[in-house]
Amino acid sequence: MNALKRVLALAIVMAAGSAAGFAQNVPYQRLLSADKTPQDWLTYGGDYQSHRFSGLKEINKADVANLRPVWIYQRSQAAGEFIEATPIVADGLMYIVEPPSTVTALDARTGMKIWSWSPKMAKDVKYIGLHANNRGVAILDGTVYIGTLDCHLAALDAKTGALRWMVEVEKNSDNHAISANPLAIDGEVIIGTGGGDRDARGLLDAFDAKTGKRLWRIYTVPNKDEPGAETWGGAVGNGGDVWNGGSYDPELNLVYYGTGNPSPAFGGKTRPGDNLYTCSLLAVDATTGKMKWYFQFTPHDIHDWDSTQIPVLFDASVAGKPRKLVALANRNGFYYVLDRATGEFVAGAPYISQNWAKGLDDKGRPIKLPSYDPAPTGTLTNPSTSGANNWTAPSYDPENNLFYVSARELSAVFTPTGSNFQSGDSAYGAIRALEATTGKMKWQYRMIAPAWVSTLSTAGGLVFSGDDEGDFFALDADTGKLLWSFPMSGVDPRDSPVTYAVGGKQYVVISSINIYAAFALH
Amino acid sequence: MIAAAVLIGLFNAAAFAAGDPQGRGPDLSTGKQLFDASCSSCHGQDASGGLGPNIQRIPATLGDEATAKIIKGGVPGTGMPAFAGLTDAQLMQIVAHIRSLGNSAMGDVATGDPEKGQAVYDANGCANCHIVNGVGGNLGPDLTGIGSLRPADFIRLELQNPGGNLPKSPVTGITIGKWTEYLMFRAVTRDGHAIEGMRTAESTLEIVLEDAKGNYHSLHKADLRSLEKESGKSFMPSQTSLSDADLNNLAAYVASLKAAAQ
Repeated sequence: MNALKRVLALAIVMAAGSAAGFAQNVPYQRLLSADKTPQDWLTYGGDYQSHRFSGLKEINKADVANLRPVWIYQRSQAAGEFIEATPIVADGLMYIVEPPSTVTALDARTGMKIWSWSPKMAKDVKYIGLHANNRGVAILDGTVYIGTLDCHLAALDAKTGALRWMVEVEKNSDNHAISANPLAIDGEVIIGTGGGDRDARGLLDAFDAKTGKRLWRIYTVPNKDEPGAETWGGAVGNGGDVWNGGSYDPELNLVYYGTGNPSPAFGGKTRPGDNLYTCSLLAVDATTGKMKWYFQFTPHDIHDWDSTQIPVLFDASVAGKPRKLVALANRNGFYYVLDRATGEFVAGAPYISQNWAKGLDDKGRPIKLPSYDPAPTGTLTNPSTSGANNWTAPSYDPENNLFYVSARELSAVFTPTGSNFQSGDSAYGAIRALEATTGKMKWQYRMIAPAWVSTLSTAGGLVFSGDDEGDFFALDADTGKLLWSFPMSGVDPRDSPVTYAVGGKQYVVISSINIYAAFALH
Repeated sequence: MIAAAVLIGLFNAAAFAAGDPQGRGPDLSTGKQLFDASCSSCHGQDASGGLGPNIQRIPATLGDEATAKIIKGGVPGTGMPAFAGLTDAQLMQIVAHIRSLGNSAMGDVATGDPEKGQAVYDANGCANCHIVNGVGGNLGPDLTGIGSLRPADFIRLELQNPGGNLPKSPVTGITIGKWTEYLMFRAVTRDGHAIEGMRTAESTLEIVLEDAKGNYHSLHKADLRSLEKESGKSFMPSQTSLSDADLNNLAAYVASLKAAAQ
């Protein structure tokens, strides 16, 4: 074939693709500038910075009252755990994950199923400390990546769902399992594992996106002879698992991932010391896998306060100087702002009514109160093991510099061996808008229960989220006033709404228990 | 068949006493770790109950194999999920741990005569509000099978102080402290109409109350002048007029209501 013919053939293939509407080619350059194509939702957090902010504004404060459901997708398998995956939308196709590890591609305009892929997994897959579900896929070039519950990374053809390759990340027999979304950057796919509550050693891996060959691995807790081992009092470090998603700064070439709690979770007598690098944020060189810096939020955690919340990258002025920042609303109840090039502590403040620390010192280390160590008879502590925030993602609105987080005001009675939750009737939840550079609360929308729903903000001046009784709602981004809600009536829905557009029409989609539902203006 | 059942029972007991094929007993520390990770958030650290019921005596009542089967398969229609990923060895470790917890919170303190208790139940109109095996009124909880969940002395306390220890609703999953069931509310509408009732459903914006006559009231919170919780209150009258013996007998009868065969 000569060059001209090759070009013609390519043009025909491309034309056929666009006629069907599903081109399904997302090169790295498109991921880098995801904010320029708000009709797509290309990464877990909408962009590498995990802003969960969309530039779409057809749906806005003035017209959101006319938002109506336009389609519902019922999951293929009725049994199993609730849907938790953030949909990825590219070129009119939506990629969802049905628990535990089934990837399904839908027509984003109609909710019709295009293809579905399920891994063959043993019946006795181990996932202690996790749920048998999944947070979503990553897309790069023409491939969709999923971490499976039995701890494999699979690469699927984005157009057909055909398996390109699949590799074992770590042994499921050693309690490693995956529910996290992969992160796809230039030529590589990054993913961590869960299982730290059963002594799985926390790790983060990078794989060649084309071949599945492992490029690097970093462990989050040291072996006996490695730096940080002195913070375990002679014990071998365990836990610190990287069971949620991360963020990426292409200029610094650093990926940012939070780590889980040390194991065993409670008591802590067997592991005296700070237990590095558990309950920390790690900045890791994306090419070499070397740790650039770490910041530990909860030294010597004994409350199961994993620090795997989504790190949000943003640039802002602090004390008159432009800074590259990373913010994280931690499970321990504090909101932190760090310099994302150095890990330096910039600011921090509680975002719930925590009662275990007097505050943070000038390095950001918590000043623990005596009540941090639970009495054998029990100590009432806020937050509970489920935390002030858990895996659900916050949103950052660059237009007003606000950070929207679903906050959980739920205490538990802790003892040295475990905890019991307070009744739901003495707890509540709230969507809270924090000034991103300080953590100061600007407004809140109160809900009767702590919720498990991520937030989404848009250029339409809206914040979308949901509550624990299944109401999906839109708030005024400047005041927190309720502008629209739709009852989806489910207990404990665990959702992450996103927005996209097909044919110029804006949609908002959210899962609830067993369905995905899309909404558009009536 | 009865003989076979007895044989199987004996066989299981023998297998339990002998431990695993290597001659070790069940590993209690692993059982505790597993229990703390998977069970304690609902059943409490000492298995005396929380979101889920007290299960301290489940192994003693149902046997180890049946208990393990429940853990593995869950209880459909309740908040008890299936822990299908646990191995048989891990299941037995958990069961052994539950056995080792004993009956720390609730023993069989109250002793009474269930037959005499049934007469007390009938004479005091309990069936006006409670269903047993399909028969009775529906304002209060169905008591069919309650004896599998709650021991006699707990029931006796409930009889004396009905609103004092309301159950929490079961949830699927592991984490949150869910709602108190049968919680009383007093709602006043904008036109001054007061409604007192048990919460049947509630969301951030809405609430459904059931009044003493069993009527549902579906209320939009924004339309109410006030909405107050009445913690500690119950439609059930406190059985203070009963003699000590009658209370014990009634508690013994209610505790004898084990789950009927389906």
